[in-house]
Amino acid sequence: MIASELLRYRSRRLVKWMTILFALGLAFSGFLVFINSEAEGPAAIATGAIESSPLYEECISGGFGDPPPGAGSLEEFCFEIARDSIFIEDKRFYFSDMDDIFMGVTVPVALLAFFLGASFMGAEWQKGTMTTTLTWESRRWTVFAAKMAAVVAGSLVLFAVLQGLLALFLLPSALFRGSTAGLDAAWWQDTGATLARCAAATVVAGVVGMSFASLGRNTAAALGIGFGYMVVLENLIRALKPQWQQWLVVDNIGAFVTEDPLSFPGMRHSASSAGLLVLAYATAITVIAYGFFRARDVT
Amino acid sequence: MSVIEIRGLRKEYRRLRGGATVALSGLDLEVPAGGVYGFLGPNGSGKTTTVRCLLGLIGPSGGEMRLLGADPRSDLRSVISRVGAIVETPAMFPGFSGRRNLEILGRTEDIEATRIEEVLELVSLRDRAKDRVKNYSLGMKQRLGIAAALLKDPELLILDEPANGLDPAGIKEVRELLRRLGREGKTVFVSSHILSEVRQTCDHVAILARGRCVAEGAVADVLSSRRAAGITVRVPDAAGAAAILGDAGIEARTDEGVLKVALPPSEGARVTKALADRGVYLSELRPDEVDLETVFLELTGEPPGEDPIGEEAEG
Repeated sequence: MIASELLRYRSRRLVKWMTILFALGLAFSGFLVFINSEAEGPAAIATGAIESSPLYEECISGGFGDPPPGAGSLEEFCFEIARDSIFIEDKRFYFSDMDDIFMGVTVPVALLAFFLGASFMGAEWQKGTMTTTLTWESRRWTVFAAKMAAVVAGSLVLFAVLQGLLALFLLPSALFRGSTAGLDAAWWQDTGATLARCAAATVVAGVVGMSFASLGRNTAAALGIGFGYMVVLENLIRALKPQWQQWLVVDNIGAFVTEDPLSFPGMRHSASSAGLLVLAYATAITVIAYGFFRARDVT
Repeated sequence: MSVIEIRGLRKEYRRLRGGATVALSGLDLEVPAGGVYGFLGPNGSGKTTTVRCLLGLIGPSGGEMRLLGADPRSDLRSVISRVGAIVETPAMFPGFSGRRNLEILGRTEDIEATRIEEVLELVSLRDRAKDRVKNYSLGMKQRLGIAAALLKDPELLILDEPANGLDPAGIKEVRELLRRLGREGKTVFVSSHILSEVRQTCDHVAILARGRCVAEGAVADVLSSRRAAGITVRVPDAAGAAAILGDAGIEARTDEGVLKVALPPSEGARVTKALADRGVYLSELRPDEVDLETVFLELTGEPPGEDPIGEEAEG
């Protein structure tokens, strides 16, 4: 049953096209980062910028007179004068910043996993294929569990592929217009843990999307519930009941993924507690969805 | 041995504003093993509801059911691999090819690729198996549904309105396929509102009306159980004999060289006497054949479905 559901998940054109579109977006981002990065560090850039500045030119041509005693040569004297007038930004791309980038990209990846999970279940109801499926496997818990397993596996693969592509697309910027310094054991450990938390958030999003679609028996209902909750209800709660904010799903996912609960107003529990809370919410939604799936007539 | 046994099956759908719609009101049914069994009834009579109950898709409100000896409510799992089914229009994934749809289903039971090719061949879809289902005609979708139902090589095939959407050639193909499966010892349970389909395909029939079975048995027995409505008389001059009977106050008409008399067979002596008194001697007198249309109409009070193409089944 799981093999059947996995085959269906990976055969879906929506999954393929959305992944390709997303990957193209990542490739474009990688390209933008590349062209906006500069190979030279601030010091080298500064040297060039200072030496070509009008102030330096004027000084070299004797506009500020001879250098005072102890100020070194005329070039050194003029360099010092011109340096203070210029701000130089470090435009090199550091691969060690990937940790934060992975976290940032997890937001759209998780939304995509939610959408694909919802569509995976919703399409079954809309096309009527759930009836066909249940004439092959009558145990509803098996059908639900197999679909959930496919969504979990699909969300994980989606996450791995997209984050892997992101790293791949940003690697040239690090190699040729930045730095790969700082990728020590501690960095790999921290980044591995970040990726694990981000992957967990993506899987939860996929499963919740599937569960909502199971409750509403179509994809649009799942999207409506999901976005209605996140965009409308959570913002209303933030505005009207700020003391409840620490229990909001989005805040807890954020606290868990970033491991920085203090960044979320009113959050009084730890990042791991936030993760457990999100897991509890997802489990409750899934159990309710299964309950309805098991009990309702398939007409 | 019966492959399907139903006793007092009831299904009520509760309405949001109170009250309930009764889809099945105490259905009794017994389907013997082997052959083709027709489950006939007008749209809305409860055919699809019965099929859905048997397949565990909906829960009955009461009554008993046995499918291949198992109770579908508690033990469907033990027999579902021996049952192939289509419920209403067979639903497949439109974005996948016909073959991929069968592969997805086949993986549920580890069915080999060779079997998929066999059933595609059986329903004449092998040449179009690579095409996406959304590009199939309704008839092709129906044939793919039948292929899916046959994939498990089931003992019992439950087909809900299998002729829906098929062209006459497709209907003939399906009819022959079902008869062949029946002859091979499988039980084919066909629900339909098309009398001609049932009449030409089935060995046994049950007629359903308003959620109850109003007649059941071998097709010949169901027909013979009903009273013939008239008498057929063969005479040398049918038109002249019709006039003689008219003079005697007996309604009669000619039909393809024979005389159709509107009297019950028990009053055949009146016809004989009226004709003999005027020197006309008949060569044959027999009760009219009772056709399924008549029986259906008598039992259900509704005209049977006639057009086998493009009708929507709601039963």
